[in-house]
Amino acid sequence: MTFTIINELIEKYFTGETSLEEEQILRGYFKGSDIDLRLLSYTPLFQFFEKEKDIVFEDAKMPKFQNADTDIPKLKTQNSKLKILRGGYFWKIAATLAFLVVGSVAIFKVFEPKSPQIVAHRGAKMIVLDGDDDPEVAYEKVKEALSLVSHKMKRGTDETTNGLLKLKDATEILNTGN
Amino acid sequence: MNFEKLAISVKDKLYRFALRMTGDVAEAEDVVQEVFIKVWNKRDEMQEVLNHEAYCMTLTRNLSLDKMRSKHRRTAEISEALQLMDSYSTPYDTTETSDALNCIRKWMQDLPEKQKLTMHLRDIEGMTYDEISAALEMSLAQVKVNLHRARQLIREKMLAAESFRLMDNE
Repeated sequence: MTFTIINELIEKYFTGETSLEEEQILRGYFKGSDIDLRLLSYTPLFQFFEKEKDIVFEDAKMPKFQNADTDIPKLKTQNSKLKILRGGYFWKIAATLAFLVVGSVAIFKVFEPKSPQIVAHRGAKMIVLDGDDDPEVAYEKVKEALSLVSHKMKRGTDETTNGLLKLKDATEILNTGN
Repeated sequence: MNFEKLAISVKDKLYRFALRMTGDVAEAEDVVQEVFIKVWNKRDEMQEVLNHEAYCMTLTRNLSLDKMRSKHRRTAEISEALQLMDSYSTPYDTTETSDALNCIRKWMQDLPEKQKLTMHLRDIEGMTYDEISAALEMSLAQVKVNLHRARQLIREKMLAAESFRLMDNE
């Protein structure tokens, strides 16, 4: 009976399917003196496992540390909070935040956009009226602006025509001279 | 848990583990000392570590690997006596149990690295699959495969030795 059980456990052991408890049973069996002859060949293996546990690290070779019996801190969060306060990190963080807030306000003030209202937009031209939101007034102002542009453009055309006429006269004088 | 208690509870395991990896007593001792110095220097960060033992095992493994790499050492031998053994000897050549144990030690030492360490942690240190997985930084499936293969290889060697002994007796 014992042979059957142990043999089954041995088979399970070599296929890597035994639990720690089953492996403990095997160790206990092979530690004993009443080992079935058919299983005797496995004895050295389990004896080897037990024997290896006799290998120890000598206390004399342990490095010595002061206050080695101090508890290792357990809670990360508690300790981190303390470290933040103790290490002066708190004041550094506070100062950085204050600097950022003051800096942001100053930059905002300097580059604060005035609040013109765009009331008309035609093509690429943008007409800006300061605080005037009457559509009639806006229309008049746009019309005025466009007529100004038109006048300037017309003046430009007249000046070009005059220039060309002068050039034509000069060419004729030159041709007559020849 | 304080540092002293932690060190006492794991020092032998770490030493055996380092010895299995390096195959050298002096180097294994150095590794264990270095592990404790590292843990001591990082004791304030230890609260982040869930499993102190697995953490120490990983440190031991990494430091042992460093030692092995730096010296290009083979890890086949544990003791001088083992080095002197005839490679064709079997555990049954003599009636001395120690010889049989030395043979098994050598077979285990000759296993591929992952198989060797997995088998060591399971069969000598009695660790669970989860603990081995954490210590060796491998998946549970890898742990099981490595353990299975390691045990199969050891069994094959044991059977071969047995056959050899029987043939020798005839």
